[in-house]
Parts: sequence; C-alpha cells; structure tokens
Amino acid sequence: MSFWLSAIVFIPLVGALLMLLLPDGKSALLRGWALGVMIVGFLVSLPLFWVYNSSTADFQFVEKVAWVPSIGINYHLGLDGISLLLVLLTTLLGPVVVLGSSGVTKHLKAYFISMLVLQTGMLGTFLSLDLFLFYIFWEVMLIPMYFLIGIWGGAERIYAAIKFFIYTMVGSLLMLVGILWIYFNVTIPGVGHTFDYTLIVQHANIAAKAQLWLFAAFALAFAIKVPMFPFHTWLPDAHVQAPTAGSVILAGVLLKMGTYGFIRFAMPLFPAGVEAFKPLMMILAVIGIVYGAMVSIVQPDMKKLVAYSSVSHLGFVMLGLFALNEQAVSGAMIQMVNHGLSTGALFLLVGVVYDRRHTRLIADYGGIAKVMPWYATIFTIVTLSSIGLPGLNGFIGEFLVLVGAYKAGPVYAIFGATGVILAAIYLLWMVRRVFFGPITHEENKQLKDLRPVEWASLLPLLVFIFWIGIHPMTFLSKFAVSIEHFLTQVVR
Amino acid sequence: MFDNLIAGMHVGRILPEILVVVVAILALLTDVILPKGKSTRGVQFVTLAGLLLVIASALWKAPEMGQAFGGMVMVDGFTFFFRLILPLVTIFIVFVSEDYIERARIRIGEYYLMILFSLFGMMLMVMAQDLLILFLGIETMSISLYALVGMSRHKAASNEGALKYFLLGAFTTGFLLYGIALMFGLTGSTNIVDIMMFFHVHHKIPLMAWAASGLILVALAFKTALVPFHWWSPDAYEGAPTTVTAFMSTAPKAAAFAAFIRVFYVGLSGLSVGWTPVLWWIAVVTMVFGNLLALRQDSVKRMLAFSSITHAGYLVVALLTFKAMGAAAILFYLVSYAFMNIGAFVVAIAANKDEDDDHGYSFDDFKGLAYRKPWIAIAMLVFMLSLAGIPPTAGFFGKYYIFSAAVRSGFVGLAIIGVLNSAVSVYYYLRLVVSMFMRDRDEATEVPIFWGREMAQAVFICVILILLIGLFPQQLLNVATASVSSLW
Repeated sequence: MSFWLSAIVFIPLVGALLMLLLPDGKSALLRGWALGVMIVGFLVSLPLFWVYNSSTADFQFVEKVAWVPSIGINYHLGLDGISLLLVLLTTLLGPVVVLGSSGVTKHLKAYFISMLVLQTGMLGTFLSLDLFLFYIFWEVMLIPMYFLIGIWGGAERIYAAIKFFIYTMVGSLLMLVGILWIYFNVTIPGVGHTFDYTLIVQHANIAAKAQLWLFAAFALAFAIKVPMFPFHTWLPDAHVQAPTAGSVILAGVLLKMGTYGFIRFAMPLFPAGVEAFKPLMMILAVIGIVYGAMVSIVQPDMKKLVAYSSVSHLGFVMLGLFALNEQAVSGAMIQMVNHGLSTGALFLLVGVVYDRRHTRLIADYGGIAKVMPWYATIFTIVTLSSIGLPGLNGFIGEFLVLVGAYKAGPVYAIFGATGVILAAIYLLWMVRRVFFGPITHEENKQLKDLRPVEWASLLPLLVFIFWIGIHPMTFLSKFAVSIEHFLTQVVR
Repeated sequence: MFDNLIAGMHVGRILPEILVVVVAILALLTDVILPKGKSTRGVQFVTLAGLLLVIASALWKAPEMGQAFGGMVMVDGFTFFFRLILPLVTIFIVFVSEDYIERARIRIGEYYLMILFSLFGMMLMVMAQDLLILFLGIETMSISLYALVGMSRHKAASNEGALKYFLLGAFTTGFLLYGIALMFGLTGSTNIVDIMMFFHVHHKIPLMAWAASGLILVALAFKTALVPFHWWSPDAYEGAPTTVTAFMSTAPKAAAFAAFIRVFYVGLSGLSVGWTPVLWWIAVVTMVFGNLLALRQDSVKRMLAFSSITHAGYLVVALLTFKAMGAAAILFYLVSYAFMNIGAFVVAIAANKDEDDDHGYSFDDFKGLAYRKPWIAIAMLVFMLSLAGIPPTAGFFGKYYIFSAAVRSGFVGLAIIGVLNSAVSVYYYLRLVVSMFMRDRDEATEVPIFWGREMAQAVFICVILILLIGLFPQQLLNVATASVSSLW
C-alpha cells in the first residue's frame, strides 16, 4: 500500500499546522510559505497524471485502514479516471489562488491557514471511497470556506457566509441519513454492513423504491452544491462577497464537488433513482443553463455576472451527466475541468481590476484596453474560452455535451444550445463595455497593466485553456475507460 | 449473625459513594477550621483531592461487581461508567469554580459542599436498583441543586430561579412517589428486577401499570428538562451562578438519563415499547422547542441553556429505540456533551463583561475575540462546532451514533427531523463564531478578559478531549457499549 494519496491530501494540512508556528507580522514569509506548500502539493500530485493507468476503471493507489472498526468505518482512499483530473485541477489551483491573494492584507496567517485546510478538505472529498469518510471531508471543508467568506469578504459577507453554510448543511445532513440507511439496510455477502463505496456499488441490491428516496437525499445535497436551479440562490451571494481567491476556489473546485458527487455516488449507487429522476434533472439543467445566462446579461457587476454564468455552465455539466451516453458524460467531465480553469481565471481577472479600483461595476470601466493591453488580451481569451470558441477548452466540453444531449432528446440540446449563444451575448457585451470605446472615467487612465504576480497566477490556467482546446485527447483519454464503466453501472 | 448481615450488604461495593460523603464532611470541617474569607481555596483543594480519590477507588473496586444492600443498589459496568464520569465532570466544575465564585461574590465553602452532596445523589441514582433508592438519589441531588441555583443571594434572578425550580421540583417529587406507590401496589415490590420479572410473567398489562410508569416518566422527564416539562429550566439556568449552570446541564442530566435507562430499559422493559410513540413526540417537540427558543436569545448563557434542551431531545431520540445501541449512544453523547458544554460555559464566563448584570453574557461581549485572544476564540470555535455536530469533533460522532441508532431501529423520519434540527442549531452556534471572528472588536467598551490559569487549563483539556474523541471515537464507543451490555 502506498501513501501517495494520503500525502497529497494532508500536505496542505501539515503546512497549515506548521504555519501556526510562523510569526504573525511577516507577510512575505507567510505568503511564501503558503505558496511553497501549495507548490509542493501540486508537484507531489503531478506524476499521477503519467503513472495513472488509464486502461482500467479500477481504483488505483488504494489505501485502506480501519478507522472505527466496530461500526465499519475505514480510512479508504483511491483514484480513478473521474477523480484524477479533479484532483490535479485542485492542486493546480492551489498555488494559483495563493498568488491571486495579493489583495488580502488582513489577518494573513489565518487566511492562508483557512486556505490550506480547505485544500485538504477538497482533496479528501475527491479521493474518499468510504461513504462516511467522504461525508467527513465534505463537512470539514465547509468551515474554512465559511471563514474565507465571512472574514475576508465584502460588506455583506456575514450574511453570505451563513447562507452558504446553512444551505450546504441542510443538504448534506439529509445525505447523512441516506448514508446511514444504506449502512443498516444493505448487506454485502461475506462482509455485512459497510460504508465501503466499492463494495456497495458492486454488490448492493437496493430496492427500487428505496433508491428513489436515497437518490433524492443525495441529489439534494449535491444539487445545492452544484448549484442546480432552483437551489442556486446562495451562490451569487457567496461569490460576490468572497475575496477573489475564495471565488476562484468556490468556482474552480467547490462546485465540482457537487457534480462529482453525482457522478461518483448518487448516480452509480442508485440507477433506478437516476432513471426516475432523469427527465426532471435534465429539465432543471436546461432551465439552469438558460436562466443563468439570462440573469447574467442584466448584471451590472462583473463578479455577479461571472457568478451567474457559473449556474449556466454547471447546467451544461448536469445536462451532460444525465444524458447518459459516452459523449455527453465525457463532455460533462471535461466541462468540469474547463469551468474550473476558465471561470477561475475570470474571477482572478475581475480581482485584478478590483484591487486597483475597488469597484466591480461594469459602468465604472470602459476603454481600459488602451491602458491595460495585456490585461485586455488575456481577459478576451478567457472570455472566448468560456463562450466555447473552437480551439479553446470550452468548445470541447460544450460540443460533446450538446451532441450527447441531442441523442438523449433533441429538445434538451436545442434549449441547451441557446445557452452558448446567450453566453456570447453576456460575455462579449461585458468585454465591449469594459475594454473598448473611449475611457469614460478619469481615474482609469492611470491603471497599470498586469503585474508579474498576476501573470504568474494566470499563465498556468492559460496553458491548460489552450492545451485542452487544441489537444483534448491528452485529457479525454484519461477518463474514457472510467466513463464506460460508469455508464455500465448507471444504465442497466 | 450480625457479621453475616454486614457481609451480605457488601458495603465495600459502594466505597466510592461513601467516600463522596466523607469528602463532603472533610470539606465542611476544612471550611470551619480555616479562617473565614480564606477558606474556599482549602475547601476546593480538599474537594478536588477527594474526588480524585473517589475515581481511584472506583477503579480499584472495578473488579468487584454485583448487588449490594440486598439488591437495593447494583454495581455493574453501567454504574462503573457513571462512577467515573460524574466525579470527572464534577472535578472540572470544581476546578474552574474558585476564580468564578470570587467574581460572583458567592465565595463560601458551602458551594463546594452542595456540589459534593448533589454528586452523591447522582451516584445513588445511577446505581439504584430500587425505586426508593432512586427517589432518595433524586431528592439528594435536587435539594442540593436548589440551594446551588439560589447561591447568588444578592441577585433577583438567582432567587427567582431557585424558587421556581424548588416549587416545580417538589411537585414532581409527588409524581415520582405516586408512581412508585402505584407500582408497588401492582407488583408488590419496588425493586427494579422484581418489577421486570412481574411484567415478564404477566403479559397482560393492567391500566395501573401505564399510570404508574407514566408518572415515573413525567418525573424523569422533568429532571432531564424535556418539553413540556422544561419550564423551570430557562429561569433556573439563567439565574444560577454560571458554573452551576454548566454543572446542571451536564452531570445531573447525565445521572437522570442513566436512571431513565435503568428504569425503562430494565425494570419496565416489558412495557417501555408502549411509551415509544409518546417519547417520539416528546423528542420532536423538545428538539424543536429548544431550538426555537435558543434562536431568539441575545445572551450566550441563555442560548446555551436553551440549546441544552435541544440536546436532551437528541438523547430521547436514542432513548426511545429501547435497544442497547441507543443506550450506548446516550452514554457516548453524555460524555461528549459534558466536555463541550463545560468548555463553552467557561469561555462564556471569561468573555462576560459584568457578572452583576442580570442580562449579561451578551453576544456582543464576544466581538472580535479572535483578535484579542485568538486561542480562547479557537477553543470556543471547537466547542461551538462540536455542539453543532460538525466533524471532526466529539459532538459530531455523538450525534452520529444517536441518529444511526434511530435509523437502525427504523425511525428514519425521526432521524430526519433530528438532523434538520441540528441544521437549525448551526445558526445560533455560528452566530457566536460570527461575533468572535467576523465582527471587529469594539475597543471603546472592551473590558479585560477574565481568564484564570485554572480556567485555561480546563478549557485546554476539554478541547483536547473533544478532538480526541472526534478523531478516535472507538475507545469511548467500546466502553459505552460494554457498560450498557452489563445492564442485562
């Protein structure tokens, strides 16, 4: 048994504990330490990409140790094609968000400790194969995010933080009851009651009616996290109030935990539930796509615009997952990564001008391409990737999702596709109003272009935006077998 | 013949209980001998040393299990568990009391004395195998508590709380006695094992049995502050000196639940399942009511007091399963709850601005605490997360066992109501976290944190225990399961 995955999960936590020993005042030291820990975490996880054997759907690098043996709880980690890219996305965003935190000056030590603990929580969530352990990580991750929003956020931060916490908590507690029900009512031959995901998914014979309830309990927890329409109302508040780095993590990784929950747990465990809820889920996904996009159009605040666009983009992921064919699910998988990269980058970019001008209103800008040419270039590229321009990453995901959705039901694809058009409207319209035309505000004439640290945070994301767009097979091939396996589990 | 009689009583088996009384008498003497005004330090020392001795004797006597006093009391694993826990909780309270009682101007030796006597009552309750011993235990505990609640003689709230508690408590005593009398009339015995055998043989349960057990149920529900028998508790909790509130919401509650388990799981096991629907409703209204009241409080002390009602509701969820797993979950939860609640009350004492203010303990007193005393705030954060049931804390595992006992016994609906209540409680626990971490400190009105060395040590140990139980629950779970299994 290797301890590779444990190392990946707990490096940030150890870094956070050691950070307690560092002096409070020295901000350069604190930033350096946090960045170092995140980079180490990334470098340790990077070789997974090559060492991972993508010709099998089995879990790899599995670690299993009894934790609370008398009630069947194990410390059980494992990696497959579905979690591989999400883990790497998380570790990649780690250093990026530390670099993107240059605007934070208050209580810096606590800030980075929260961020590192959050990183451990997220990685643990993606790697847990024990339902109970998964739940623990899922909950633990709430606390640091709550602090990130509540301490370092904007004016309405406390309201946003509590709303975020309670929403997630309600959903996940019902999931906990579902997990308990599974534990006591599912008997695995030769094992008995267990929280072991791999055993339950293989051997469990849950009655179809129970599956409906269980799916509903799990789906609620995950749908709140995604967030799916109509459970999305916490998201704009959380995003707008969170500091830049918090938004990047929220969009980049936290929302993926919802979609990951569907593809890992809710769908393979309860295929009968999927069958029954499939139309509803697809309709909600399409409503989310269109609704999110329409609301984005009218936003005067850049950050809120990007936040609502997340609702729309995650709608694509959900549409793809529930279309239940190979293209659609592959599209959904790659779209999860894409959204993390593109929306993460957009939040970073909004943060760049916010740090300079302390406003995010589109009306306060205009014509700033003249003073910040590099910034405008990068912003436009990321926007185009988010819209789905061929050659950039967004295209691959949306295209595959729509092709797959068309197979599942042309109506879904047609309505879904309007989301792409609307995305072009709201994003390009924003770009035009912010960057082009005359400079309408005097103070914008003094704006400085991207600083090196901002370059450093954006470049890694740009590399992947192009890479996925130009050669998606590098990434698609990693999870192709896992998705085939997923489909055999769900479509019976 | 006399020797035989003594030997048959097995006096040695109740050595820890005898020691508690001896310690109380020694504490009383210490109070008299030492000069007035300076005696409490000495009394505290005697009490602490004595209680450690009590725990040591309980461990030493551990192998010697069995009945004593002709079956009036039972020393089994269950008794053993509470023999360790109750003095341990009391040690924590006594340990942090000295600083507080000076500040609250109740620095008199009787304070410790009353705590010791109520501890003696509790220890009788958990070992009682006869309803009369149970009655004696409850009364010994309660009378001491009435006095403790009213100890802040100069405060109106304290007097009011004590009076209310006393009047309603006296009334409940009547219920309990009446129940015991009816039970005796029906079964011809007050012994729990005899009663169990009676219902074992007589399958047809007469109406009088329901009346008798119902009256006993009401009395125990009163002592555990279950809705609708909780009306005394907000006033008593608020009026009592804060260390006493911390004590009342932990140790006596634990003892009362222990008695609940012994009476209803053993003695009335034949008819306890009949009470399940009633307890189902009691659990629901207790959880909901406690939450609704706690949500509206502006005082941390009152919030903790009301939320302790909700926690009693969770315990009833486990209780009404009438399965060993449910009882084990109660034991686990009682231990976890004791440490987080005592810790929370101690920090509340530290942050409170003015002890003489009847409406003190405002949430505002905690504003920006994280930036004044970060470690205290972090400790309080751990307590709040644990009370809210968020991993990786003891509170999470405690709730987890309770709800898993419920789900296992088929009470899925009740478990859902329980977890939703748990989600509601997050709101008011986090409100304190918001005050500590997310509000700016208000330097103009700040007063120095009241923080003695003993308080710091106690809080530190509570934090460590909560995290240890949260990360490695197996040991405590094993102990709880083993203790419960000795009941049958």
